[in-house]
Amino acid sequence: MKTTFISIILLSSLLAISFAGCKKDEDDKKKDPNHLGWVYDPTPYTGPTVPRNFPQPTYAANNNPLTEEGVLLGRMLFYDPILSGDSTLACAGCHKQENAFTDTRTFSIGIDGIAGRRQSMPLFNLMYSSKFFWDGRAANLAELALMPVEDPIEMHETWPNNIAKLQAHPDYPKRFYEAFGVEPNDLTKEYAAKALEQFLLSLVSGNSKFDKAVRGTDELTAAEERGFILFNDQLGADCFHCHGDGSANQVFQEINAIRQFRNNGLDAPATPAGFADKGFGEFTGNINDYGKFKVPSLRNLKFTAPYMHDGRFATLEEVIDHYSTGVKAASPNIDAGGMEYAFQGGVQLTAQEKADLIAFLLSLSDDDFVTDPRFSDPFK
Amino acid sequence: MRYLRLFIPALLLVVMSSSCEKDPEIGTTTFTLAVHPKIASQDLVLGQEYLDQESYRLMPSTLRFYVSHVTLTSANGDTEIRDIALLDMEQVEAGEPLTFEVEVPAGDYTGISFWVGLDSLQNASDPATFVNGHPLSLSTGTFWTWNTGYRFVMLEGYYDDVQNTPGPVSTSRFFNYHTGTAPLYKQAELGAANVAFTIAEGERFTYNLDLDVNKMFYGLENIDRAQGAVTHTTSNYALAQKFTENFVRAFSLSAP
Amino acid sequence: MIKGKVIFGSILFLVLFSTSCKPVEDDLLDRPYNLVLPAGFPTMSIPADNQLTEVRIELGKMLFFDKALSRDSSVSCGSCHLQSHAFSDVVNISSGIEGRKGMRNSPPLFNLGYHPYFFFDGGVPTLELQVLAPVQDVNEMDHEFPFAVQRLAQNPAYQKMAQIAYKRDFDAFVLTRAIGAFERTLVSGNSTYDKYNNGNSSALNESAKRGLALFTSERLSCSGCHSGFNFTDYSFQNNGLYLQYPDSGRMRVTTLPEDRDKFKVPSLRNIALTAPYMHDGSIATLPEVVEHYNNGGAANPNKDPRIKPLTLTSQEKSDLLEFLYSLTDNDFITNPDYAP
Repeated sequence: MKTTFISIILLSSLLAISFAGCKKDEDDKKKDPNHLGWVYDPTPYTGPTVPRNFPQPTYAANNNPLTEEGVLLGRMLFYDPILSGDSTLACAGCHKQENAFTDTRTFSIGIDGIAGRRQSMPLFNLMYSSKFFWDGRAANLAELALMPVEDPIEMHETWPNNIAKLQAHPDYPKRFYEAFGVEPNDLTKEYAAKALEQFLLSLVSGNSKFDKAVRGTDELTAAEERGFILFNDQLGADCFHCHGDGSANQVFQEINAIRQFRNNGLDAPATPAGFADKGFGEFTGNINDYGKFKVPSLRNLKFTAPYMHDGRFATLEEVIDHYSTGVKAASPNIDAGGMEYAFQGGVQLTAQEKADLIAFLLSLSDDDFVTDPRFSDPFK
Repeated sequence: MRYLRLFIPALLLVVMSSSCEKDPEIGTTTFTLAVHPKIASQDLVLGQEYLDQESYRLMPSTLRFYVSHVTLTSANGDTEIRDIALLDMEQVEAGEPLTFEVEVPAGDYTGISFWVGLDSLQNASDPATFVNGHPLSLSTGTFWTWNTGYRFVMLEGYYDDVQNTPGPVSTSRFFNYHTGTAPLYKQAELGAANVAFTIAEGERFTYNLDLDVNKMFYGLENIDRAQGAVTHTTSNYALAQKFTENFVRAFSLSAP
Repeated sequence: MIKGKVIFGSILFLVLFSTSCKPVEDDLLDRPYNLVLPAGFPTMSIPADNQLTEVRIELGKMLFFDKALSRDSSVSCGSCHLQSHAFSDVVNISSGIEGRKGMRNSPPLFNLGYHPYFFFDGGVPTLELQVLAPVQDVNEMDHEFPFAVQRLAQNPAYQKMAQIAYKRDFDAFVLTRAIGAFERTLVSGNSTYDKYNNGNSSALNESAKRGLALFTSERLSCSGCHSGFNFTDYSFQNNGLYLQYPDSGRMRVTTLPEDRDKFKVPSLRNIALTAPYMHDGSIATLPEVVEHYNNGGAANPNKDPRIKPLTLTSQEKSDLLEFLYSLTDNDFITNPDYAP
């Protein structure tokens, strides 16, 4: 199956070739006189896709190559509160660009003033996952994009309502046509999902200080370098087993699909059934998966506090303290391979080591990403 | 060869225990079916290279097959032998024939017949219930563990796909013919090799047959090794069938 | 190598001695084992030559977890059959010795005494014969069975237990029978669903009850194949996983074109524990399996006609999953009798 995972770059170039090939034959189809000169002739997306120092993406967009029109439409939908029940809350309400598209609140608040039960997840470098959300319940980004709308705690709206709203909108029908060639009457939630999937895939973050140092345009400080060594040292902080090693995997997230959900020993109920949040196990129904959550990217931590699936740690210091001395070895389903120092509470770092490690982690923050105008609110 | 070395003590055991059996009945004598593996007129030796009849180089490394339901026909009634033999070139010295020795009544016989492989009951045996050294035990390496039953014929080796190569044979091209399953249990087509014979009382008699590897490939239908070098029967049934039809026709009477 | 041969030789001489017409003294007695079957389970037929006894089962368990079975002593049966996962593995294709990969997903092991044949292609007719396959498979243990027997026979504990349990020296017969005996004791029938089925009507929640109704409905036809107390009819079916399969399944055994790409229907008991799914472990989670059936699968020529798009609502999907989750038997995966 891996051979079918074609990089987005490849997809885009294939698209470019296929459009070049049939441009003349399909000229008639592109112009529909009923639509006042609407044209379906999408331009392949030209924005950043995969940084040079990243591995081959594993995400396969299902027949949905990125186009300028599609990405822009997705971006508009992402920032438009029209999709929520009372038109007050957009996706961007809980996924803010300045926070690498997460929320600073421990639990985000939906339109009815009710808080959710998990921390909003940051959105970037999504092309290495095959299951999304902390519990893995969405199999792809199109599926993911549809869920918060209908969640009664989040946007609390139905898709049939939203489609009606979009069809009646002065601008969106034309944009859907330009992006997908779909007539307003044929509009379905799947097209909205496709547009959002394209925008989400365009959210690439790969210009941190660390990346610049890799490319030779910046240099890590001594503390950052010591932190990187600790990160990759099995006898040091031992982070690399779950978060990428910085050599083969500079995404700094687990890219092997079968290892993306793990239990890092936060809580230790007597039995797996005792987990307040069963996480991945809630999705799979497998008692061996209870208490496991998606292993997040370690990029952009500077912007994404609070941390963990329940936002229990306000600072990186608290996170490091957990892995240093706070791991609960008795946690059912604890990750035996990754959390190998659990028996002694963690990796036992000194104050100096902790400071170095944090310095390194912060070097993975991409200031350009959180200010990039290509990802910002298109209505402003 | 490793089986042979390993199970010499086991063979001793078999020999010792069989010596406790009843003495042969009066009037019987020892009949030996001796099969001489050949390539054309040359003796076949495993691990040696030959040019086959179309001048392709080949080097057989394994030849092993079951013989069952050996029957000596006679005007006074047939003598059917219940024992099974696994004739395995690894178990004999180079140049020696593969032999199956049994006790039969002395007398005049009109001919011989036998089957290659195991009948459906024999083939459904549980190999773990036989002691090492028995033809149906696990020590023979003939039992297919992923499927019910035994390999009836195993011919393995290496070949060149260009004629008249100087050698040594390419070891990257191997052939592997493993036949089995009920439909491929066939009687040997002896034809002119089936002749009358007389066994005198008290004398040993040996019925000598040649088994020609050439005929396994150039027989009822020719097998081009380059086109079909490997079959585990179900993996390429047509090839296994072709090989089987050729194999059961590959016997001939040895020159006196 | 030479040392090995000498040892093997002496063991055989020992055999000669011990079989010399004197009965083996039974200073240790074996006792018949009473296999308790869950309510609603039919009787299990057990071969006459391998009736269950305590020492047979204990010996089988020791062998099941003994890595010496593999050529380089690196993997045991238990390496790819984990009790916590109903004796299946967590990866799509398990690693044999040297990290070698076969082609099929490690199946869970329970209620095996009821199976009419083994493996996804049904090639092997008995539990005892099944033991041979993983030992000899080049991608699993890669060990010539006689050599495995020879190595294990050097263990005095095994020799003693073989004498007590089977009244013979440790050999291939003992090895296959003992593991078969242990595996027959792996019985699972105490799931939430079983409690409901045996009269506790509140054991299943409303969602699971709706899921059960869907499961048995003609519209979904799940129970057409996943039928009976063990949730399988052991038939060979194609469920439209692929248009073209790299593995021809049942046809590998029968050579019949109508058997191409068909695989033995697995039990759905403990299904939440046995991810990933399908003969090749290609579907990672149970909700994705439901989605596969909802989509109707690929148009394989041998696909069962009951596999067709189902248009399940999201509520129906979660009800069906809730029912499938109720088939998990937590007592089975924590039963200390099965642990090494």
